[in-house]
Parts: sequence; structure tokens; C-alpha cells
Amino acid sequence: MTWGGSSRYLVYIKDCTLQIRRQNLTWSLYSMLGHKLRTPLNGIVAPLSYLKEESKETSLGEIEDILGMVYDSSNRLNATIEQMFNYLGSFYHQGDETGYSVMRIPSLIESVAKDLSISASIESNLQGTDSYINALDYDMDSIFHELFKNSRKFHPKNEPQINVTLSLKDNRLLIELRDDGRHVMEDNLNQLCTPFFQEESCFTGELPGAGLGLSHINQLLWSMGGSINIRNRLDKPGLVVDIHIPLQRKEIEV
Amino acid sequence: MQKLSKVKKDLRVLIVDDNPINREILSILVDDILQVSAEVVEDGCEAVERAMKEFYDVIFMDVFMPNLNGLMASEQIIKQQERNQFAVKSIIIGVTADYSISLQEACKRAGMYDCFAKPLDASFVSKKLKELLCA
Repeated sequence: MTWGGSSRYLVYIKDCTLQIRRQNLTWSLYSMLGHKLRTPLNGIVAPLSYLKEESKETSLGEIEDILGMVYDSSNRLNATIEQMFNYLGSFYHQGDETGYSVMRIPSLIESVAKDLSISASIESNLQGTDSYINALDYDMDSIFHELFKNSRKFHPKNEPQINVTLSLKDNRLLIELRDDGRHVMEDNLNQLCTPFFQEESCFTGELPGAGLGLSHINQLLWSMGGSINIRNRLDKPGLVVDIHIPLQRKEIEV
Repeated sequence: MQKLSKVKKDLRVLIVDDNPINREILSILVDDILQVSAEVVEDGCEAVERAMKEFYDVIFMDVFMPNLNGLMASEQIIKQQERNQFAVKSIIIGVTADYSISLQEACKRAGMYDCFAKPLDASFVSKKLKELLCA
């Protein structure tokens, strides 16, 4: 552009931070998805292709060992695919018109703790309430199973002591879950619910699970209008998970 | 192109992978194709330590591992061998489930000879290893 005899330039500055973040997230998803699926797939394809080539020269004992590997890898692949479908399914959450009574939560926690053989104590301040949240049995079961399994996974001895406090405030159900595992680097805390995020300097793909558990919970809570926040315990190693879920509005009976 | 000049039975092979099933599968393939019993370690740190004490003709290196990843481990092993003026260097073959072009480039930059994509196919591995062996 010439203006008054001298050249001038009009420069547009555009903030592309979000675009770059999305691009990086897409790359991470692509990379992790490949890693999470192909690693167990390798335990199926490689031994079967070997058997196909060498079956006549392989002893029955070796074939049994190889089939054992294939079976373990198939289970791992199946679990990973299942988690992926659970995560994707949470985007289509419909809720339940009748709602989920918050009074059922203490017994649900006891049942999940028993199912996973994890020690848990409950402090409930819900006595006498008839409040409901917009959730299905499956949703609440998934949330507590996932949180408890995470506590166990990241506990140094895989034996966490979990304390859950339940209360109501400002028309919301508050769930506070404390474990005695370990701390997470502050920078990583707000990324724990990102799909495939694993709290390591470089991902190895060898942590159990698909890295979708917390993002699945996050998505379920989002569809209920709720939220999740994770912070380090101040008094000792371990994490505190704060969950807020709005209560269902009571319909006026005519 | 560097080839394996030794007779098969003298070859020393190291498998580096944090997944026990993948270690087992590669061991079976190496045993079958090269007729040698491979040694195995679980991460890049162990691989570097081992490669400083012993020379391996072939190293199968998983790329994503805890502690020290396969790219960094390969770089360290090759630098160490260059520093010690080895006449022949280890042939490092990357093994990875993420077979993107950028990762293939990273493997080359790290000094790897080749990179195999997971899931591995026995006939592909056999063909590639036989190409490496001198007649």
C-alpha cells in the first residue's frame, strides 16, 4: 500500500493460540490412539503371524504359550476398546427424568468399595433429604468405580484409604473424595481430565488403562451440569477430588 | 549399508521393551530367524547400561518407554560407540506403534538403522532381518 509517496504495510495480528492447542491435541490423540490400540494388537498379530509361518515346526507347549500371549493381549485390547466406547457414549448422555436419589449414594460407595476391595469411609450430611440429580445408575456407578480404581492405581502400595464426604449446598450435591496416594505436579492437575493424558514426562502407553477414565467422568458430569476439580492434599500425600452436581428442580404438583 | 558380517551363532541381540508380551514375541522371532537367544531389558536406561558393558550386533528398541525413551537411548549408545571408536556400530532397529512420518524422521536422527511398525508381522521381520545377514 502506498500512502503519501511512501510504502506502508497493514499487518493483521491474529491470536492462533487456540488453533495451535487444537492441533497439538489432535496430534496427541492420534498418537495415543495408535499406541493404545496397536500395542495390544501387536500381541495378537505378531504371534499369530508367527504361528501361521511356523506351525508345523512349533511344539504343542510353545503353541499353548503363544496362545496365552494372544489371549492376554486380546483382553487388553478389549478393555481399551470398551473404555473408548464408554468415553464416546458419555457424549450421548440422556439423563433420567425420574432422577437419581442422592440418598442412594452412600450405599453405592460402600458397594463399589467392596467390589474393588478398597477401604473407604463415608461422611454423609444428606440425612432426611429427598433430593435428586439428573443421572443414571450407570453414570454414578462409573464415576465411583473410575475414581476408586484411579486411587488404587496411583497409590504406592495400591492400597488406598479413601474418605468420601457428601453434602448439599446451594442446590448442589458436593462430593469430596480424599485418598492417601501421592501428589501430582501442579502443572498437570488441570490436565488430568484431558483424554489420553498420562501424568509422565513422556507417555509410555504402559500405564494400565487407556487414559480415558477421568475424561469419561468429566464428560458424564458435564452432561449432568456438574463439574470436577482435582487438587493435591495439603496435609499429606494424596489427592482431593471435588465434584459438584446440581440438584434436579422439583416439579410443582397440580 | 551396514550388514551383519558374523556367522549367525555369534550374533548378540538385545531387545528393549517395557511390555513383557512384546519382549517375548520378539525373542521368539529372533530365536527363530537368527537362531540366537536374545537378551532383554525393560527400558532405555537399562539398555544404555548394558550396551556400555557389552557389544550387541542388533538392538531392537521400543520407542516409547519409561525412564529413558528409545530415541534418547539410541543416541546415547551410538555416541558412546563413536567416542570409543568402535569399528562396527550396533544396528538399532526401532519398534513403535506410532508410525508417523515425523517419528520415522526422529528415529533416523537418533541414529536408528530402521524402524518397524507395530503390530509386527513375522514374515516382514524375517524378510528384513534376512536382508541384514550377509550370505
